[in-house]
Amino acid sequence: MTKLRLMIAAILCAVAPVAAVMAQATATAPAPTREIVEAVVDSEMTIAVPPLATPQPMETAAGNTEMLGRQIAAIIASDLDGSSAFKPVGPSGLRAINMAEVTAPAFGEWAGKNAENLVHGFVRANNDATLTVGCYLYDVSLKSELVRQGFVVGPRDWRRAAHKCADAIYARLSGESPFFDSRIAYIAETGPKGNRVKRLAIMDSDGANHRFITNGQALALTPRFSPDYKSILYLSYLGNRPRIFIYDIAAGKQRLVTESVNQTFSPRWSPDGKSILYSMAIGGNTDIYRISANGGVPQQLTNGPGIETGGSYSPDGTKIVFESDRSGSQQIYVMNADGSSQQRISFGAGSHATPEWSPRGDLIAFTRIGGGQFRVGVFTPAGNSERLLTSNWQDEAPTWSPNGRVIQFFRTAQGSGKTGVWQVDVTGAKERKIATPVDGSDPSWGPLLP
Amino acid sequence: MDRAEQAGLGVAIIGHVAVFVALSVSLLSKTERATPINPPMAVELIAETAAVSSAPDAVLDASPPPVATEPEVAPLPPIAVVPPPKLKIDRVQPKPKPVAPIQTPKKPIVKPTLPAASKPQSKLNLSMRDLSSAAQQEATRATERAGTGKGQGKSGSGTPAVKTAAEVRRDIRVSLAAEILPYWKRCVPDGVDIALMETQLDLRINPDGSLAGVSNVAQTGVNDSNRAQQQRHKECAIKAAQLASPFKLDPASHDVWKLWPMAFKATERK
Repeated sequence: MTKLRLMIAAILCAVAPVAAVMAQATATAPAPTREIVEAVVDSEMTIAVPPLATPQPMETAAGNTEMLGRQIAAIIASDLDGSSAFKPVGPSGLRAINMAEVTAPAFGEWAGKNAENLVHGFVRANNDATLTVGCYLYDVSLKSELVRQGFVVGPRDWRRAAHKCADAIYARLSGESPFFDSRIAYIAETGPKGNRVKRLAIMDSDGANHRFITNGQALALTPRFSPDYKSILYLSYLGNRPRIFIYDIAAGKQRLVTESVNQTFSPRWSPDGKSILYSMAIGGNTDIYRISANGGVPQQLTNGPGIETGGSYSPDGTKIVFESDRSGSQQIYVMNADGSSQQRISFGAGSHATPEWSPRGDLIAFTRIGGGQFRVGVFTPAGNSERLLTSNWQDEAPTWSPNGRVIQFFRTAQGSGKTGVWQVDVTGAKERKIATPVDGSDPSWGPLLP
Repeated sequence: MDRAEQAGLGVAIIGHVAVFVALSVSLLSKTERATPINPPMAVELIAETAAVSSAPDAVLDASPPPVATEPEVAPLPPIAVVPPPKLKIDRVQPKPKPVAPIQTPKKPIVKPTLPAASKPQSKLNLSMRDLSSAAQQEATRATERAGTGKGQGKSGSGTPAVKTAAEVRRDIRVSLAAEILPYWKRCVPDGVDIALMETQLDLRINPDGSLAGVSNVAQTGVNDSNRAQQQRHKECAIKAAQLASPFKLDPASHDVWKLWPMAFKATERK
């Protein structure tokens, strides 16, 4: 037994130094640290959009299918170009593809054109006079299909098929929700400065299908599409009295929201379209009210001194953001939908006005006034992380795209007073003017078309 | 105890004492005895790891080491300042690894027999392969080091030594990040608070440098504003690794880089 103990002790003595060396070696070989690959986001994704194919050129109510293939591709490219993420190439300058290529692209050829992504599709005339538009998106590098969708539309809606295809591509590559297939209401302005004629007008998100709603005899302001696109809420000076009307687009008729001897203005829909926020001025004091879209007795939500206006619902309808000058200057406040728990959220230099809650709920857009400028910016619903997106003499009245990624506003030129509708990505990139037949102001972006 | 046992015990005791005395004398005199050990090596400590890891030979070798005459001593050709090449479809071929489009003129690169010597060639190829300027500068520095022999040891005639694990990792870091970055940059989504998001994953790399797959994918920094980009962020990270592979790595060190943790981030545009 004693011998056995001695042997074990001897073995341990011999092994200990070896174990120590091994432990030391292990300690000097730590696990690899995580290597970081970091890139500055400053490039747009190149995406090729050749003309869409057609199985057989046919005349339709919307035009020849071969020509439609070219036009739809042009709309897709234009839509994508309007976002901040893409650098579309085509359809002009690119060869037309054949039907076989729609599902079997010549990846090598498109890679040679530096295309990272590729749009293919087709236009087919159906026997019932409708059109089928096929929409495909490919990753050229990986030679993989990313999107495959088809849209059957009436001849009058062929542009919507293009927007829907662009939406599918945009959503797949950006991660965002779609927004191209939507409409915008705005105020069309004509005439000299100081005597402007302001008419209610609507158009597609890319400026197409433009239509004037009112004839300009009464001043129109602050239009808002209803969530179902069936009507427009707006302020009219009909009879030289500022009052809020709901215009039925299909019927071409309008009705008064509420009759009052006081001025009513700044109307906004609730997210469900069942109620309306508006401001009413009584004896120098302006407060925010809510009323059913079908009329009835209004409910007063604010009762502070001064001017409180511009109410905008959070997407879930539980809160309202508004502006108030109760602190001495225009600032932004948030309250519960019933008017309780009012809290100021904008601070810092200048004043803040025209708040608009993002459809995504994460941000509030506003106009910041200060330093001789009106600038459009965003911050969180708590008022944090303020970022100014524009820098011009007078940019104001922001409105969100349906996906909460793009903001439209109107810009007034210094001197001439001419106005135009502009848009900017919420990152501050890709600021551009939206083409309108005449000057434009007070844009209001509707939801995604049903 | 009988007589014989007593005699045996005595012999044993005497023997042990003799052995003890002999060992004691031997140990006391050992410190003074010269031993035929190798002369000490001359080791130069430098701040940066050379592209070619070298050390003097412990056993002198009359034949010149192959790395000392490698063609990478030639000055870096102007490819280092060539703008990023167009995306070529052959980049996505998983194998074989496309031949570098530009070769060092007149001096064909001879594949070194030792793994440590392959690094300059790898970095040269990186500069051909659309690297960021930072990566290009790194490649230039590496090639210059190789060209001037800096870091090859005092003797200048040594064969490349086997790299330490830390050296291998450092080289891998330069190589993998630089190779993946161009593809990540072309795909990374933009959006509010995108800089807060980080996609972490482990690359599982085959001995030939091809990507076997990714594992342990995780994301941090996701909030209400950047949640829309969450899936695309991850997708682009994986795609960038796919397109960048096969990576130029030393097969002899496969155990070091066969599972390589990486993180992908984006910085918002100014």
